[in-house]
Amino acid sequence: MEDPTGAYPGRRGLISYVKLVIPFHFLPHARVDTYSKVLGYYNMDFSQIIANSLVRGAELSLLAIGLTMVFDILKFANFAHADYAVLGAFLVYSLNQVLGLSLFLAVILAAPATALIGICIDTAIFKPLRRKEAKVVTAMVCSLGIGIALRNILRLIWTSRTKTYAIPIQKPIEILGARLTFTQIGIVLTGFISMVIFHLLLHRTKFGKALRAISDNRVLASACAIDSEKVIKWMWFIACCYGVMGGTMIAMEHLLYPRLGFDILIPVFCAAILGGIGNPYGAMLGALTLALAENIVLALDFSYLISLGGLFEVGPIQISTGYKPAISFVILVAVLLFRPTGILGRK
Amino acid sequence: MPLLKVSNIVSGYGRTEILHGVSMYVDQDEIVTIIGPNGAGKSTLFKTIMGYLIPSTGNILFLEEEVAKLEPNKKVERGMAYVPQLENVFLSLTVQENLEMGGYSRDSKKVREGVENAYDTFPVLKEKRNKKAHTLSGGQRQMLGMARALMTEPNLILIDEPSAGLDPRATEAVFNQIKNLHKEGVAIIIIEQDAYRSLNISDRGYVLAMGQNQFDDSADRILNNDQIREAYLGG
Repeated sequence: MEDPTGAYPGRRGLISYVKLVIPFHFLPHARVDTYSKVLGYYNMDFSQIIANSLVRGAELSLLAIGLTMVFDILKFANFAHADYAVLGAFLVYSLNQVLGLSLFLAVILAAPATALIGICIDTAIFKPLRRKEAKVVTAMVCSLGIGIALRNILRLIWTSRTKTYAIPIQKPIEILGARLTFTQIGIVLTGFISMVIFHLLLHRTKFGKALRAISDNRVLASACAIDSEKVIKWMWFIACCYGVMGGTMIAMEHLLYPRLGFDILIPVFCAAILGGIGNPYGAMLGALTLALAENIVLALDFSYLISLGGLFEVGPIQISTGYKPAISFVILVAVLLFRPTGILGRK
Repeated sequence: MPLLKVSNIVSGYGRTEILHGVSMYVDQDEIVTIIGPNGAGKSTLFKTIMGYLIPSTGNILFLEEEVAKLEPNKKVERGMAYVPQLENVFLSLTVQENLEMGGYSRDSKKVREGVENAYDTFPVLKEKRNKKAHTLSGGQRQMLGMARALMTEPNLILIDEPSAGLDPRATEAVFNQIKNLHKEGVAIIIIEQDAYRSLNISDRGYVLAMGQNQFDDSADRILNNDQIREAYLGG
């Protein structure tokens, strides 16, 4: 887990990078924080954990839904999915910070723009592969390449310096004992509304029914005169739009930098696989479960263990937030080992 | 001019050639049965006619137009319909949604009319309209498969093994429906294991073997041909 502030190893040479990184990131598994530093966590109660999980769950599920949908229809894991989302988040940044549009308007413009790019990439790369009936792994490796290319294009255009949106500092408000900012409340609401819209899209619209039909039985779908290529284009559109919303939310909550897509890839995959890859409701459930797990693990206080059951005094000991991705990685490995179909399984 | 005319089709999966020059035709208002041993290429012929496989040589004329290279959805728009073997319904969709998908290419008013017609023809489907298709029995699925195929008001329906996995009573019901369809003026091609039953309602039959035409004649004469009976109809 390198420094997300964009200090790339190439700049200072590998040796200094290794020296710099290893002591901080590979050796200590738990960090003894000073009391003041962890005060926020130490006082964190259950309602705060739930609130934080809802925020994180909303962000992740918006991303995981697109990933799982592409997997369901095209049968490959799109490793570039999170990078599409970050591309959208950067477009939002430019519209918001450079052109001065409101965040809401910026997302409304950036989401379809990113979707268009996603559709172009599909037409240029994945569609010819489908035509050739290429192996799934070929498409997967291509998506890895697209991800790398996108990350570097982002760096070229926006540099690797971290960015933030024009959001004023907010005073959190208290809801049922949990402290949330208006931004966070907005994230949870947007996530919730998006999920409801997605459900209606799948069950009430011709496109959604066709998408489910293709997922169910592709041979039969074309025997129904369903033009699957057209449906696939719309699927990319929805996947990208949802991804941009999720990516922007994560950037709003934390920071925006070109490698963000790579950093959120594992949590997003974990959420999709945890719920049952290919199942959009699984993606929502997986995202919430993962978010809850992350927040609980981060809130755990290990001082009782370290002090050997209270034999001597130590300050609270918690896992550094830098290890958040490790939590999803551990869950991912466990799910793949013990229940590869995820919580809900394939429909 | 026949409704469908297939001439000298060579087709298969990748480099594996299954059909080595098959020809057949279907007239308007005809039921045609294709019989032959396993691996004769019957299903491959259907997939080639429907456009899931593109023939390397040969022609397929449908309504006097060359359609050999058209995609399946385009052929359905032109009036062909296909009921695959066993996997003939969308299991995770409701009965109603299955029918709606059948009419995907049509406007919503036509679809609504079509769905009502389907419920008139297959009353059992109406009772289960909001149930997922995987809750249906084999016979009901076959009915739904046919009802779905009829949503486009096709000129020609290809039915692959309608009696596969069905008990005798369900088979009876399915064949009765096929006869009804025929009365409404739809041409039908059937691939069938239960060749007797299928030939009984057919006008003509084709015998395929090793990916080639073996024999073709009127259904009556095939049923009365001792050699064919011994070789393909089980004596």
